[in-house]
Amino acid sequence: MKFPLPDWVRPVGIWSGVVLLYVWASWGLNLDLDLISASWPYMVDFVSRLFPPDLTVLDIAWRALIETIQMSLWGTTLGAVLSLPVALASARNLAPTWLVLPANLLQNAIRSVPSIVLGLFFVAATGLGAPAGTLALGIYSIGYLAKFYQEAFESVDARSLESLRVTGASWLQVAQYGVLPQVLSLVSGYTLYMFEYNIRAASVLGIVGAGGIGFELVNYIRSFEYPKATTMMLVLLVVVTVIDGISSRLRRQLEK
Amino acid sequence: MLRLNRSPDRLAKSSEPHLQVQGVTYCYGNTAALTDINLTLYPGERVALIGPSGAGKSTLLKLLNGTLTPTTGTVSVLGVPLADPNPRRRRALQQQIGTVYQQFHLVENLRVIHNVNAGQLGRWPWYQALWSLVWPQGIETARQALARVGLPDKLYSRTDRLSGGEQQRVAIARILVQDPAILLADEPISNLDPARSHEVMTLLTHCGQGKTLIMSLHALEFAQTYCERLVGLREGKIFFDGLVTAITPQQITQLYRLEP
Ligand SMILES: Nc1ncnc2c1ncn2[C@@H]1O[C@H](COP(=O)(O)OP(=O)(O)OP(=O)(O)O)[C@@H](O)[C@H]1O
Ligand SMILES: [Mg+2]
Repeated sequence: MKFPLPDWVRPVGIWSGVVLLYVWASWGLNLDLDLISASWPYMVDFVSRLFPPDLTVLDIAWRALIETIQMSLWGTTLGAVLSLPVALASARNLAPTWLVLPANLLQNAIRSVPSIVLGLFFVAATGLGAPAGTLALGIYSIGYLAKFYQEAFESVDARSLESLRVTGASWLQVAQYGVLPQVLSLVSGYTLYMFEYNIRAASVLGIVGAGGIGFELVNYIRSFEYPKATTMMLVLLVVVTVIDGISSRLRRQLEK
Repeated sequence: MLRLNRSPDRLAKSSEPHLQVQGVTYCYGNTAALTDINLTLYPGERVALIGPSGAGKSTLLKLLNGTLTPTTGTVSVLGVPLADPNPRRRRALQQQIGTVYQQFHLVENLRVIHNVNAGQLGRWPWYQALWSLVWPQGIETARQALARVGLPDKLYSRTDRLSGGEQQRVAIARILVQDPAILLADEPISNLDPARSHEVMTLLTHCGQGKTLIMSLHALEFAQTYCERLVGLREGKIFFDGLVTAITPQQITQLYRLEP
């Protein structure tokens, strides 16, 4: 038996909860205003040493960049192919209940491994270079793509699936005629987004030696050749912007 | 030859009921939506299922096409229990049952031809079904079905660009292609204007010729015009079941009355 509460209790409760949460989180940060003001000159110094960019390494940047795009393309594709079955098994409206829980658990497990750790793992397995990065991106992508795909699957109109099932269509045919057409544009949109994201993720993977532009970037920073590192970042910026433009246009096309 | 061989068999079959509901109770959780339903439908019968909102009409139709499984009791189709644990046999049985819904329930972003071809899915292997999405199969069959429902030129239109009445006719074209022995319809006309309603009812009763037809209807005059048997459902029980001519206006009033 529920008893009625005054109207103001809920909002006040929620807002005090939110404030408490932030206060609690700020303890962990050890906020210290003196430290921040003391560190300011170091930041300025670091940034000033990045400029002007050294454009003599443009050709190296270009080659590393192409490698990054190639890694991202294959990594995303690998991730997409592996994500489909995981997402199908996780979708509450398509998979049997006994499968949904373990599949979601698998997704969460993959998502909670940082990409750097995956990079280290595959560098240990296949050695330094692009293959390790590609595999790491592939596995990393599953954590996100499987979730996106699963949500696309679960948003499918259940009634249209029912009307297919009652004609005597098999599970596979319901997937072909009911699920596929209704998720195709969403799924390709998410995959494009992941490709774009992986180009950035690939540059982080360079830190552990998993190939691509990040590898060069980290090398230059380690050897204090900051202007050359700037060139790498600028090239990355240009490419990420261009690819973002292309893929958002493609995604808009898909939604039609 | 083949015909001669088969006809005695079919004659013998035709006296058997197409649909048989025996002692069926269905519960959503703990609340019973239907209690102890017994219903037998013979080949070629046209039956209207009527009754107030919440009486259990949609639930009964879902039990008849295998979307729901009875809590107790059995539903038999062409003499075979529908709750067959073997999925292949159950699907073969479901092919013999076509369902038309109130909200059409088509796959909206597929082209019309694929929604019509969905009626073939029970017969097509999965690779043919998949290939058909790329390179449409059974075009002639689909075109004929669409012509019968008056949409001959909509073969390649996107389904969600059609009006409600047109979508309902696509749903009927799907059933024509499926060619089942039994036709179920759940409020097939409640979203249509009177003229379109008559069109759809004519289509359903015509394409259902020789088939067993059972549909839930809110519009009593349509039930009396197009069907010969009325089944009244009230609070999950059969309230009356008889020929249209045998049901009295008092029984109808009692069926829809507000007080318990
Ligand atoms: N998915 C469900 N979960 C729980 N209860 C349900 C569900 N579907 C229907 N019911 C209940 O079962 C009873 C019968 O519902 P049903 O939809 O079969 O009625 P109906 O005769 O088709 O009504 P209407 O004429 O409004 O379509 C109702 O009391 C309804 O609330
Ligand atoms: Mg209903």
